[in-house]
Amino acid sequence: MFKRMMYPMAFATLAAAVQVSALEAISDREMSEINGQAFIKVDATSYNQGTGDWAGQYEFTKVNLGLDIETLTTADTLKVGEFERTAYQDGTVPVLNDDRTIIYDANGNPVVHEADIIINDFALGRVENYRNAAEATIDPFMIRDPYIELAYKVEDGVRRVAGVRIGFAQAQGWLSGEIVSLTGRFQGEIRGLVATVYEQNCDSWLDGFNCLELSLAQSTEIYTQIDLLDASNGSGTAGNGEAYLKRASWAGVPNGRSFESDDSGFIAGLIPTLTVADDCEVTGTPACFRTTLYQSIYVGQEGVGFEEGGAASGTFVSLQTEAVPWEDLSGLDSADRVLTERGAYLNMAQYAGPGGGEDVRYPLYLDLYTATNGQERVATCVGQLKGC
Amino acid sequence: MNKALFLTPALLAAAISAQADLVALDDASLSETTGEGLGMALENFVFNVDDAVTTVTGIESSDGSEVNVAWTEFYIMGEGSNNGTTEVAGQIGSVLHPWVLQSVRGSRGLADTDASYNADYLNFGSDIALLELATDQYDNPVENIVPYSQFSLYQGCVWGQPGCTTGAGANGVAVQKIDAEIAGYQADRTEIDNRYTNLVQINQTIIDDASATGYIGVAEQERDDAKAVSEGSYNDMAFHYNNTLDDDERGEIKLGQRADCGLFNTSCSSDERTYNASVDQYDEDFYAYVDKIKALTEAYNDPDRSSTGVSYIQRVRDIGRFRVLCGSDLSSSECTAGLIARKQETRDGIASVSVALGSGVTRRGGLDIGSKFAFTLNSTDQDGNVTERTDFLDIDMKGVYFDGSHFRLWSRPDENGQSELNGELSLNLYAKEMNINVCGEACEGDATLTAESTLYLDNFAMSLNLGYGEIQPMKFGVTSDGNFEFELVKPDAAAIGVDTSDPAAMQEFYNSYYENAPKSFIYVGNVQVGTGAGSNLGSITVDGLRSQYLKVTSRDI
Repeated sequence: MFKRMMYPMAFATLAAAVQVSALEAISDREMSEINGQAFIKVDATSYNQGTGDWAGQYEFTKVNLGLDIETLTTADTLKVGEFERTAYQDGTVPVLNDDRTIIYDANGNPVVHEADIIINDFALGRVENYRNAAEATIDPFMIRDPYIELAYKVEDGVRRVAGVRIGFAQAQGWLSGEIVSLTGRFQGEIRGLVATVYEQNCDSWLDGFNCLELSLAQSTEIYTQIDLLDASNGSGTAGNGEAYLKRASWAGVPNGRSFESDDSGFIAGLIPTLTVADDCEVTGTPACFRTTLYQSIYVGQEGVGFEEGGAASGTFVSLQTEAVPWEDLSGLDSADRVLTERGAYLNMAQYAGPGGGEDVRYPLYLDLYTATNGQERVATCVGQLKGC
Repeated sequence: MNKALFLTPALLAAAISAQADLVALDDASLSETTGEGLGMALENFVFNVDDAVTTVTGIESSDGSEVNVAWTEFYIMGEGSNNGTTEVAGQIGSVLHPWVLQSVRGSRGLADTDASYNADYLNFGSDIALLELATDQYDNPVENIVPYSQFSLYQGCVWGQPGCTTGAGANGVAVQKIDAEIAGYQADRTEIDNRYTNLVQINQTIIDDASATGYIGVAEQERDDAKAVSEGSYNDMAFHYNNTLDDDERGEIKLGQRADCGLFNTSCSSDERTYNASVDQYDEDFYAYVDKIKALTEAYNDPDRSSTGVSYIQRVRDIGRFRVLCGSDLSSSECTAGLIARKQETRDGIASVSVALGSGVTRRGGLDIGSKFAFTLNSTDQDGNVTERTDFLDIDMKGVYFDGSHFRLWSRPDENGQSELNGELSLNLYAKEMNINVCGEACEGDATLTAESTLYLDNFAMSLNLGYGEIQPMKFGVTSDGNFEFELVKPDAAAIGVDTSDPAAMQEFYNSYYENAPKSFIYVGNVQVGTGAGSNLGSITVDGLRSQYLKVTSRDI
């Protein structure tokens, strides 16, 4: 947009307002080299290859904004999709006690969170040296090329709005908040040494076959992906054909998933067999954690510059009135469509790193030792951690 | 455009102090007037372009093709216009509550007895004059957009519409709901209080424990030291792997794996043995680092390490939560700041509105605003096939209000001594309904199809506050390559003469900023497509929103 200075008066007014002194005439040659910048692009796409709830004709209109944004922004409450849901319908999970037992209301029904996404004390960016107000500095959250996209469902020639999403082409920095309820994809990777599993479960290698094998592989690094799950039973799937869990408040290694290892050899080859998650445990090691434990998440790669590939891609928040297959903008070779259903959806999932479409990166990295401690909140205020 | 433009019957420009019927000024009176400002009210007006079409060009898609925009409808009318089809007269401001364009002197540094003093402009130095455009202002809470929109959110419906004519009053639905919310916060605060006898002391204990000699500080330092040793060993191992092993030797193992030197450690090169030794050293140092992590974890979670009997990590969380609820002052037994105080203030406004509406007070009518657009653009399907398509967008907003908004501009020298434009924006918007339809020609003349394909956003409220006087102004600029820059600067203590090198003074400055700088909010009471109950998506709330820093720079895409 504005390829040829669509609104020269507006630009002239701004420029005049900013520099009211030392003005110099611009030559015709210099003037001829100036173009307005095209910072808005509108793209239309369509998709009709979905199945099940995502079958039929979809059309999309995406407004891309060419903007670089730096910010430290906080909000007391962020609540999206506050409507009635019932536990174990549409993939909705119940609210649990710390011991993973279900909380019931006075009528004996499992309690569910009141909204699809609830984040308290939300923040983008952080304050460094927050305890010394004279030395405190802002470490901003960086966003490049935000967009807003509308999805339409077309049936019998009639179009209706099916969803809207807001996302960023790239983002990097600290995202903080008390994540009370989450619907969508919240993925991370948990890494550690086999020694962690061994030490927590085996007094010696004589404790059983697994302990013998684990004792031999203690220096092997293992890893796996974590997702939102229903911690009452460790399940990561919604069942009944639903695509994902709704209003989850726990994340971890879902039932049946194993740790993997890049090491080769007989012992390392046994790792997947020895480390299958079941009911929120991996061979006795806790494998499910409350999302509220992770009060700050670094989006992108800490220590790597924004321009050097440190930014994450594919993050968005959306609201659908019915099933919508959004385009997956993670950049991964395996990316297809992000299948969303009625309600709100937050996508903080794996994305492609600077190495390309096979270089899988996660928005959250944990290690087995500290996963149960959670991630303490980074400060987002001067003089206090949060709530300003 | 402007095929039909009605401004009926009056365009009134009045001095902002006007309180009664207008009378003509004689020459003598006119000569005594000064330039305080201009009050403006548009009464009984209708703006409607009917079926005139404005074409917008210059927008492109990512593939460089043109997007043609046809703007086919734009109307502003009084509430009840039935999507702009019935020309109901509307009001923008009134003689008693006009929109105002004025130049105002800042009041910081003035005595409150000074004739120019005005508490609304205390964040501006008395040496500057700012230009202000302000919409109509109301003290009456029923007419004031902020408490009224917050009442509507908590009430859960648009007052006066079918199904929303009861449940107001001193103990109405909205009041009970926010009371319950505040009670939840108070319970959180009580739970924290009950764990301790003295929060100030707990805070000091936290600081002491995390000091260089405290048990947390010592454990953190030991972890950091072990980490540094471990990283050094890793670098040493990586150096040997990358620089001393040859390609064949590297091809047999990954970094971190030991080279196979046989049972007697003799069947490999000396470089491989040196590399293996570096792997052993790394393993040893890494395990030492892990042990320190575990020791720190235990220290964080051990309640017996504290004289309070509460673990360090719990104390840190409690202090953080208390400050969220009650502000930074841990010594106060009252929550005079923080979330509880802010919600109590909101509650008072809601209660005032609820009582007034419950006793039959009615609110003035709003505006109806609508537009229609048709976008013709290329669409690409999943196989890369490109076809032309036309998107329709029909937006109708009903019962719209803007009162309590203002936009202020002033000038200050920048760091180079050149005058720089500064600004502050407070934009309030409340709409009883915002209806968006994309069906276009397929639904024309079919009310049922239109209703079933429309996106309804009811009870839409927004209060957007950008800038806080000279403490945090907005700044505007243009880069040398033609892009625009917008910056909401970090809170600037120097702007009001605070010693920026004094930690205590700076903390006091930030506490004041956090307590007084207005926050923003966005509410949508109900989101729904069509009229079926199954397509109801409930409400959206973004509350207590504030940017302590925001910089936006456009770029060519």
